Amino acid sequence: MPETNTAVSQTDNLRPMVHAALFVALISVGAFIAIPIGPVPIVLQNMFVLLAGLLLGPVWGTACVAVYLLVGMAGLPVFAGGTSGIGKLFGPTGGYLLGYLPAVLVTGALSRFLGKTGFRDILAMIAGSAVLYSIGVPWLKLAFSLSWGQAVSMGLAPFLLGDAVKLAGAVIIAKKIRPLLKE
Amino acid sequence: MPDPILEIDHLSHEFAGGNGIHDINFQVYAGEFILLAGPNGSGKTTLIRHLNALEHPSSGGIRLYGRPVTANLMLTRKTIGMVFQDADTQIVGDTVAEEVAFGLENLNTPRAQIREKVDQTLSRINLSHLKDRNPATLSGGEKRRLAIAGILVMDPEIIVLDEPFANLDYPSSRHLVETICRLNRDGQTIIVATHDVEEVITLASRLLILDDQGHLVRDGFPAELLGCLDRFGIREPCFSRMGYTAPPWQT
Amino acid sequence: MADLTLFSFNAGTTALHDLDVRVKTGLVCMLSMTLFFAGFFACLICFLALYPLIRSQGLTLLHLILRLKGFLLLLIIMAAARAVTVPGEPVFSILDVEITRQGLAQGTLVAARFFLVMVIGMLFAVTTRPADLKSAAQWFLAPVPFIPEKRVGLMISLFLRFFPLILAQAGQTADAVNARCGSFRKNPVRRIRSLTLPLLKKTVMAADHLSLAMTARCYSENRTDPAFNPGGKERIFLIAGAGLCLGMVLLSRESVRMIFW
Ligand SMILES: Nc1ncnc2c1ncn2[C@@H]1O[C@H](COP(=O)(O)OP(=O)(O)O)[C@@H](O)[C@H]1O
Ligand SMILES: [Mg+2]
Repeated sequence: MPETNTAVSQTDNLRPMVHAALFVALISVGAFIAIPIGPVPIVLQNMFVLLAGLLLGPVWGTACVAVYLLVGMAGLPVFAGGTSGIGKLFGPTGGYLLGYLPAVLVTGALSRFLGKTGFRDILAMIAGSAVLYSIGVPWLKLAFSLSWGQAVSMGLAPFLLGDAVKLAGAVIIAKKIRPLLKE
Repeated sequence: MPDPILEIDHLSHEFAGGNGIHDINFQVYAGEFILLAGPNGSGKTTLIRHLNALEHPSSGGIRLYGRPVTANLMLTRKTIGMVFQDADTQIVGDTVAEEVAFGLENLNTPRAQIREKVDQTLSRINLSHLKDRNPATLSGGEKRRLAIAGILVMDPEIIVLDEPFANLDYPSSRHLVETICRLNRDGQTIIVATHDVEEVITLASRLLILDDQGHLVRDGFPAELLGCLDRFGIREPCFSRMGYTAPPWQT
Repeated sequence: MADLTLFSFNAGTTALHDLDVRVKTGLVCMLSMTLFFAGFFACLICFLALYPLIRSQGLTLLHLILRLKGFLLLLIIMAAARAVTVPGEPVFSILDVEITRQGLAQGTLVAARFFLVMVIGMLFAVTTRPADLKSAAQWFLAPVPFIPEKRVGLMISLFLRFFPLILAQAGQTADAVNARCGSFRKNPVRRIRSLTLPLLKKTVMAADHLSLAMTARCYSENRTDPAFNPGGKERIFLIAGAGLCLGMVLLSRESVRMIFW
């Protein structure tokens, strides 16, 4: 009989599944929490996506983002500004939403592969963000028929400062929350 | 004497730092109304979570009808229904009816049968009028009764309630006491864990006392244990403190 | 906080409310896909067909425009961008920028399609109970291999439970942080931390408690399938929807050629 006081659960994946559902809700609420920093308030949504990768791992992280996109596509008001629907998902800014999927996968996989220290967390999240923008920016370019320069100055440059702040916040949060998720 | 439903046999659960429960022994028989009393931190929650195998013991074991509770977890958890202390974080469904149906859906019960049993249970516990409400909008007392309905629907042998009266106002507590009492009169075996025995001590058929070290120090008829409760960190019920004899005991 | 009533369910007894959620989902998919290659006339017909449904929800065109104004702005920018970049015969030019007929036509068409898809999505969201949405997702995913549809269904249920909880708690946490003068804090990283960390700690604990309670209630993935309540008009809606799509496809053949050639 094991000495640790782990709950005996017949379905061992119940707890990670509940955590993943929690992160679906956090990502959705993240579209509404805005923190005023400088001229543009930063929205915490992509931080929760990256955190889902770090804390849930590649498999449950991807499941979590997939369910988020599914409920948004099905009409629940979880996309930025309380919108939803297929129109939003395939609209001009849809690349940033669909890009969450590979972003969380890359962050989760890298974090599992590299190990879990603050520095490695940052690396994993930078890689995830890079994947996100490498889908979001070309998508924006196509939708608005922009040049590459315009696309980058509209769809990437304005967010870099806020993203740096969010990464720093996410590292601290990941460190504190990880023990809670372990048991 | 008939065979016990549950046998708790030298059960211990040690947490790091010496906390936990130590060498607990008792049996639960059909139709009993057991009050498990003890101050905060005495290990009541820890003990009852072993009854349906939500926790592993460090040593000792529990048998349900003579077989270890871990032998068939589905059966154990269907047979021993548990109402948790926090009313809000045990609700899964988004209407009252769906919440009650959750347990039966897990047992893969056919839909028509689920509908029938849910209606039956809701009227048994006086919640039929709230059938389509969102559980989040219910009052504290209604949420507690909803939680009871959610396990009652699975026809458990034993219902275990953890601090059911915490944070309830007086009318809600009374209503809840009446509900529990009625179930017990209908033959339902009940275990209530509580730090405050005031509400229910005259209704219980048996009182178990855990001291602050996690030892089971008393196991007897409530009337005989009155007067020694203060010693174990449990507040004497009002009538006992005032020196009155107990009001007519219900058995 | 953003206005959450924008796209959320509105209780009611209209024909759309009573329609079986599976049929409704199917119609939304069918129409959205048809719209992706619909021409002008098809878009117009589609809008005319939808208008009674929009009215049945107590909405007018003005409501729609007001509700979708942020998205509409994006669409107008998108249409304008096409108007100046697609080559073709110039209509007029401002400051050396040539606006072509083809560009104008294509831009407007793309904007019109997105607008309609958005309207359809809104009609669906306003008339569908979130719990039914979960059942529909589970039903449609059931035949898809490698997707555990029951788990997805349960995740949606749990999400529906957590979402309002977290939204309320995020508001409370923000208030508490402000009350402790957190809003004067300059360091943005600490501000994120003080807002998010308590929220996460609290909700992770609630989630753990919930999974324990579910285990105690015999949680199993081999569970009873969700129930559906057809309202009786499913066949009419399906036939009307299929007819509309067919009509739109036939109309579009002509207009697609007109635009591209
Ligand atoms: N997971 C745990 N790890 C360590 N100690 C614990 C844990 N859970 C409970 N305890 C300790 O065990 C004791 C009994 O707790 P509990 O069963 O919750 O008591 P009660 O329900 O009677 O208030 C307490 O001292 C508590 O601090
Ligand atoms: Mg307790």
